[in-house]
Amino acid sequence: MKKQELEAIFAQQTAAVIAPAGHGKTEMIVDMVEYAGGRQLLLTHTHAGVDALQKRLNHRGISKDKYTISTIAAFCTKWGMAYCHTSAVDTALSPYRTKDEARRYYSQFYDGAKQLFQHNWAGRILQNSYSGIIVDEYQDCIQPHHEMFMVLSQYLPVRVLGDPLQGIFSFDDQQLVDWNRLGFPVVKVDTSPWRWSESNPALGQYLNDIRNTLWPALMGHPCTLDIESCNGGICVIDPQIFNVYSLLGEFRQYKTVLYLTKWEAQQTNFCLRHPNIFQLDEKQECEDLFKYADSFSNKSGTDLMLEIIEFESKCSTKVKSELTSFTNRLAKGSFDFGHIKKNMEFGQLIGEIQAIDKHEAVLCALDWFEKNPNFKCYRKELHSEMIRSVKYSRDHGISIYEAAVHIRKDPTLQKRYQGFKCLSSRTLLSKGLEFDCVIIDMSTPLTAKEFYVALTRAMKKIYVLSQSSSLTLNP
Amino acid sequence: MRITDIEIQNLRGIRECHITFPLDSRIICLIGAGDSTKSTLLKAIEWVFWPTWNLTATDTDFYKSNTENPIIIRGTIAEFPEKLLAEDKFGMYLRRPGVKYDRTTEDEPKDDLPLCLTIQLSIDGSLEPKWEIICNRQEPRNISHVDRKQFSIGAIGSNIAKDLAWGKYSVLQKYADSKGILNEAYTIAVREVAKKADLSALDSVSATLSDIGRKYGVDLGNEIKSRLLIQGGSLASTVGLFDGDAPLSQFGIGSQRLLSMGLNIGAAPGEAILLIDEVENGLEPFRLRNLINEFRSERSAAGQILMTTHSSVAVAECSIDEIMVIHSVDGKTDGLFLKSDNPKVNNAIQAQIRHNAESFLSRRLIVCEGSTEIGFIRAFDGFLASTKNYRMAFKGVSTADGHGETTCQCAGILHDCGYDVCILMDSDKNTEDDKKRQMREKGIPVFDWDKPNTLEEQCFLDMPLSAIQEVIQIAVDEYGYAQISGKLSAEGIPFTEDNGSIAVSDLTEEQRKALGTAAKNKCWYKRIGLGEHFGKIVLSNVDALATDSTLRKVITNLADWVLNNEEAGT
Repeated sequence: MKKQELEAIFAQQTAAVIAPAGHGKTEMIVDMVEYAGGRQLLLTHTHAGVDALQKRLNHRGISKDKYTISTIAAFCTKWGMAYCHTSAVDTALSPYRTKDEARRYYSQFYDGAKQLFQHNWAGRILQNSYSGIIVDEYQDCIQPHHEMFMVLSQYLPVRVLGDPLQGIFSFDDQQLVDWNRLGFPVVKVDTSPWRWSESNPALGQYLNDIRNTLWPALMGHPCTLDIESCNGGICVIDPQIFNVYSLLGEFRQYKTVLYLTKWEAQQTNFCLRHPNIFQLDEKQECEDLFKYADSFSNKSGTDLMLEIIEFESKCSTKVKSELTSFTNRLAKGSFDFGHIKKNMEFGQLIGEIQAIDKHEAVLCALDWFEKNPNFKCYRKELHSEMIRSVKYSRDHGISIYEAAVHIRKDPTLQKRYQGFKCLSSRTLLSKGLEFDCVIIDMSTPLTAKEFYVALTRAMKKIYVLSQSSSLTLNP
Repeated sequence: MRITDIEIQNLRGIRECHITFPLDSRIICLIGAGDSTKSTLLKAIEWVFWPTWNLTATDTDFYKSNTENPIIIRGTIAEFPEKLLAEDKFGMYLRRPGVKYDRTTEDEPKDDLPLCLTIQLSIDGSLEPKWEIICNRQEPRNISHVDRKQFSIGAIGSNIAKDLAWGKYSVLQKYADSKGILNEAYTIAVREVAKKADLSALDSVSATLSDIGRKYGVDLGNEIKSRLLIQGGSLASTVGLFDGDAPLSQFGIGSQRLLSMGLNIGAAPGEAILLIDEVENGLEPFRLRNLINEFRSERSAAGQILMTTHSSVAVAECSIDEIMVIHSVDGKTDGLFLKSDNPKVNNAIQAQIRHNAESFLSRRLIVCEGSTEIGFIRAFDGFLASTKNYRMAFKGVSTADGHGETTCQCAGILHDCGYDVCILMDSDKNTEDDKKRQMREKGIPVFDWDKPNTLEEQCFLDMPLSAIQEVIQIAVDEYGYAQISGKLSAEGIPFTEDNGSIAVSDLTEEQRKALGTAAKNKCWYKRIGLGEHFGKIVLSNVDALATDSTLRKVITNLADWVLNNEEAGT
């Protein structure tokens, strides 16, 4: 960032900087931390975001007393717990029980922080701890977040960065903050598409140029985008003709390939059609995990085995067809598999594991499915998480369901699955990530912002599945 | 910085203590009988804010030397250094004043109250001190001695000389870091000494050594000389302050203490808390008064002063808002303020502070309704001396003036503050009956007369004629024959003139009563000196009183109370 730009940002109590995807936003933040005196409070929404910032700050050798990084949730929770009476926080609520209670648990901290900082003494503590606040990914903030930062700006300068074109995280009842009515003056900063400088500069430049075409979507207007080829960087293909197998040769040069579509069902379907190639990108609230963890907890005997088979049929192909005879017998409440010839060793396995502890039994069964070459697993994350849940449950003496909730929701226990070459996902899940090649399925059209997020995931090559290369995008 | 609450457990003579100081108090004067644990209270405050990592505690510092019960001191402070407010320091531990530490009660700050932090020092049987910041909402967090150094607490005690020299624990260290400077000065000085030392007297060994060298094959190049060897060391403990050639440590104790106080206050203007044990030590009354007024003045830079005293000069200089009575019973120490909600009572006590400060430094008080009674008790003191061979002071008894209608309330407050009190008052007002009953229910003996008599009336009723004669003479001497005789005539009391004096004979009960009433209404004895004279005469005639006369009974009971006999009180 240029010196004048930094000076312009720091000259005011509040400032907003628009940083498009891949244009060096993280570098900008590090520049700001370096330029500022004192200690900055850096806030972002996700732990992945925190990690990315931390990496870059370390890389640039910025001293640790110049910043403190946290997620907004962690910051508000810390304050809410320290002053629960003043912030009217109910410490009896838990985020681990029902979804509804979890929503109330988190929202009370945002409201609570806003209430707490109405008190001058709380602001004094902040003033004695930091010299400024910097918030990243501001387009993902909802109105309660924004109101809290407005209150904080009374005590400390607040500088926010984000890209309104990537504001896709609208919750059911919570509106995203309106960038037209932020109340923070926007400071113009010169940026260039760094992300694509090595992989495909022409693509990067094009993705920057189309922002002007897409910008009306922020005001609620539809827009029309004519897709250009970008020297072959972008290909428009009719979805009915599109054939993944014909591209496998090309895929060999890519480290990662991402398929994006609108709905979860399509996402799953794509994996089914291309087993052993595309893995399903699971969402955090992985319902199948919780559902089956719960039934594994509660069931036993033949019912448990049926649940295990059903679970596996959700993870891999051919399970149902290969094991029909077993499911029939088990449904009748019988362990007599003497007459079954296909997959005989499964029958043996069932027999053996009936005698041992449930956790070990489930682990053995899951392991058999994993190792069986007949079954092509397209939900390796789900399968792996279930194994982790069972182990956690065994090691900590809690139910498999509770264990699943913990490993999925507790930030210190979460595991990120980043090793899959080909991933089937949706824009909501893939934001912030980068892939060499991206396939965007527009047979069910994405909104303008979703489309922009999808496009900007790609480093080298984009396939747009659409009948026409002229797209009309809704806001 | 100021202290708002202090809680102590198991420290020396204090088994349990919890004192809350008023929020706006600048000066607090602690008084209390000897062994009331005042000094231990100051010691506790000094310890809980200790600025270094080592604090030596011994077994005898524990209550009854029982190391099984840990020493715990909790001090709550307001207006502390801003740096401690940081989020990663103690910003999450803020509290408001006056809330007990029990890990349950809600203690978050309120907008209209000062922000407070509570620091806890705990010492268990291992004698290892541990300092933590505590609040009811979270686990305690350690506070390092580096952070504790930011508290400006100065203790003026017995070791004054340390503040007038540049030792490690001197207050001077807050003004300049002397260590480096002194080390350098020392090294330079020692090198100079080494250079200039004339040790030529030892050179006689030179020739011998060269000779030995030649004989034994050691090639000694130069002439052998003796030189001083420089060793390391420091001057810190021996560098003191001088006024010209006179070391400050040789000035009078009073002056040294004043300088030390000023240095402590100056080191942290507006913020320092000063703990002064025996503020009067070494100071003449005028310097003492000056000191206390300096503390109180607008331009004073002190944050808060806590001082103990045995001096009535110091007590007289303080207002009722500033005096706290420390009272210890069976290990439980209480600190109570003389101030109450009743402005009239406060005025009476304030007047007492100003005019009879000594009484607050006694342990036992006779609260008198007015000057006549006080005079009477003075005579009573002489009476005790001549008949029982001891004086009230021996039994720790002094008098206090209740100022008429506030007598009972004053007595009540003093009683609540731990003084052992009794009351001497008239019985002429019915409105006082309820108050007297309350006093008796509290265990405060009330010595009064037959209803509806005043002191004068009771005396005139009970004493022998010759005594009446003498006391009338007092009035005549004071106010003149005409005035007194005029009054007698007006009351219809028969008398004869006898050389400018008044002679009376054979008075009826009504006439006696009338005389007494006249004496009261006309204030014949309403001055301490007159009351004393009056009392002397009455008391010298005690044996002539009938044994069942009220006057005799009261005198006997009062004597019993002073003597601490079991049947004391009515």
